[in-house]
Amino acid sequence: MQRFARVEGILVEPIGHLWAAFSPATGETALLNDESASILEVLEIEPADTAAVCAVLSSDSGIAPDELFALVDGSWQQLTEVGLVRELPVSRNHPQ
Amino acid sequence: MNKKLQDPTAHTSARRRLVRGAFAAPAALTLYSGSAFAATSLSCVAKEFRNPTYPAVITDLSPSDTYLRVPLYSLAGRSTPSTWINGSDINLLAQQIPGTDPPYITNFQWQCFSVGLSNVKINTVTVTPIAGIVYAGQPSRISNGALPMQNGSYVAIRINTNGKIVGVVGVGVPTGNTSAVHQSCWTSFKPA
Repeated sequence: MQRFARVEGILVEPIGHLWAAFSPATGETALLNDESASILEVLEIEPADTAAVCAVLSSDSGIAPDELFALVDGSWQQLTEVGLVRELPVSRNHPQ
Repeated sequence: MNKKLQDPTAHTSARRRLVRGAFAAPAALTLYSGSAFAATSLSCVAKEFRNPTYPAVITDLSPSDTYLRVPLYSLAGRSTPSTWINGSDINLLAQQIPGTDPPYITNFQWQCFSVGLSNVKINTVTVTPIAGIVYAGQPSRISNGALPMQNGSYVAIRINTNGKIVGVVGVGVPTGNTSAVHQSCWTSFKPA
């Protein structure tokens, strides 16, 4: 399973009902909803794959991990493009 | 699962703000600075409506494009994909301006922007999409459950004179005065 990490040095701050996230990688600020910011919080602890992120968010939201999977899996492209998340190279030592 | 991942953080936490039983599509929209334009714009909405604009779909969301836009999503079928607007993206913009009326679409709804040649499944119901119609949930491909993916294109949103987001450019029937809006105007907009 592909793993993702939070980009080093990003700043995430609450602004009203939303979150502003600055990426030093792109020099841009993105506006996030709670769901995107939650994914970054999970990755703040350590890099994780989609299933692990869903397991954590399942305990927070009360929604089954398999129902979250497609939503979280579909968010990686967007979070990567705005410079908040990076895809980790697959390691031979990491169990797939 | 690693137990470390289950520890909530002590500071203000997005995870704690998640509503139990609900999880919208994660959304992230890049902001571009419009401060220079906004500084000279005393009544930007009035200016926008003096010359209403309806910019076309674009595939390059660069700082040179100054319209407030949301991404388009494609749902691939056996042939031509249908394209969709994600209600989460629209609401993310609307929440920037507290006090404005709620937008025309909710967090969990999706609007068909263009039809493909395949039916889709929405909340377990098979649907023949119609461009412009807002649907109650996220569409998925009938054969394998695949979900819409961003296709790299963006459409401009339309607002009315009160600053309410009433649609996107390209679908739906505009009622009353509506126009696309520049990002700088939106970030400086204050509802009356």
